[in-house]
Amino acid sequence: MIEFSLADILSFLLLATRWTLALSAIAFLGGGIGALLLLLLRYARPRVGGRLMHLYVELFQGTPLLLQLFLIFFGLPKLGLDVSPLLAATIALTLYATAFLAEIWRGCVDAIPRGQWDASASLGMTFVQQMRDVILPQALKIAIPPTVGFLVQLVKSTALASIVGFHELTKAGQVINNATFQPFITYSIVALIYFAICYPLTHWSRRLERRLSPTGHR
Amino acid sequence: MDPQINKSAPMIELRNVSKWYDSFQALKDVSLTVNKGERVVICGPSGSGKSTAIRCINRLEQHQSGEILVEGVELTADFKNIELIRREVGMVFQQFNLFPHLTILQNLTLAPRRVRKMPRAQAEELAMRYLTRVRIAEQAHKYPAQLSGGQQQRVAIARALCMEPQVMLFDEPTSALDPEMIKEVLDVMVELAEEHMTMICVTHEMGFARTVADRVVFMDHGQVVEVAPPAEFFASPKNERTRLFLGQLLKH
Repeated sequence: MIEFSLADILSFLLLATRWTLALSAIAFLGGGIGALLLLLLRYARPRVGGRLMHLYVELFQGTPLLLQLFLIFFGLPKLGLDVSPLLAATIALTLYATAFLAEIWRGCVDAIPRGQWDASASLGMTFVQQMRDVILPQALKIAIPPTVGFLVQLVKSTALASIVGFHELTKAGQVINNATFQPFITYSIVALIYFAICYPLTHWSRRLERRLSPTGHR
Repeated sequence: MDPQINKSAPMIELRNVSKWYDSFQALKDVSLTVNKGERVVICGPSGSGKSTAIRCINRLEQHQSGEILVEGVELTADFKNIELIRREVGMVFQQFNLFPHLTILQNLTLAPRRVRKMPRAQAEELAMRYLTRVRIAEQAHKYPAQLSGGQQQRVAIARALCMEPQVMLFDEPTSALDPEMIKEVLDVMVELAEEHMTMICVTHEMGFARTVADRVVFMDHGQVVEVAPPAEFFASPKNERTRLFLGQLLKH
């Protein structure tokens, strides 16, 4: 039987961590773009997008992420579309992130006083100008802590991709465990790696929050 | 296509304007004509529809029946039409509504640069001119929260003026101010009136109404109850409700 050193285990896990990071980044970016589009739809005149966004958000927040992943990974091939584990995980996490970020950001935009809309409208600004120059810069400040909070959530959610066989950190942990039969050490290391990713994020969000709180903010 | 602005038409015309919030009727057949260069003060008890009426003029609120014309152009649901009219109609709010994330100078230059597509240097020159007029030029690089209420409201007036509007709407501009700051804002408004800016002003400042208004409008329960020149309005109000309202104001 081959013995694995701690260094072997660690390097194997760290290589798989790249996929966890990549999946998180893609889902966050994709979700961010999706959420921004939903948000513009929600506030644009005429206001038809509100109901649509609401339905989407409810649907994705009201069902388990694991189920969404199964639907895409096992469901799409039934429709004749072949999806790899990476593609399935990417689609599922992006759709999921879109729903949550849209809801978080909607709350932040709604928190901007109505007077800001009134004042910018009375100056003749268009909807896009109002959003870009007046509403979003202010909403951004209050959006950072909950957004980074969700990013942490998203990083941890990528572990679900291991179930459809995507080789990210958790899957790598399982593989190692199957070879070494040392679940406590293996999964402890896996947990520590997740923590090492998430902790700096929360810390960073707190610093950003402090730096972005301007002299001019009420 | 931009609607044609008619230079000889009255500045603002409301014809039988009505508005409902669900089943509550906020405006009942409001008709009012304001000519160019005219200064009109609207007063009335709270909930009388006076703020709603002026917010309809630049479509911050939507009226459901009747017509509103700005320089002869009817206000419709069309975006282009609304944006065109808003460029000609400046507004000052009770709560100032300055943009807290921008400096005073940026507050003033934002709309001229974005809406009028003015180059930055030109917009800043314009902004400094108006800041000087409201006697606050030295604060140009501060943020709104660093200014007093009276200063913020003067900035808000300058911000609206930077769009070089044809008419200015004031929605209770001094109601949120501490007493010692009311005068500095009223002084700026009086100067504006002396330059023959067309103004519609919702206010409880009866001293202001007496000195600058060409006509005073009294509203109650969503209706225009009485319109008269200030001398006549204060000396011999015709309507019972107007007398009651003025009686209550003067008691204090």
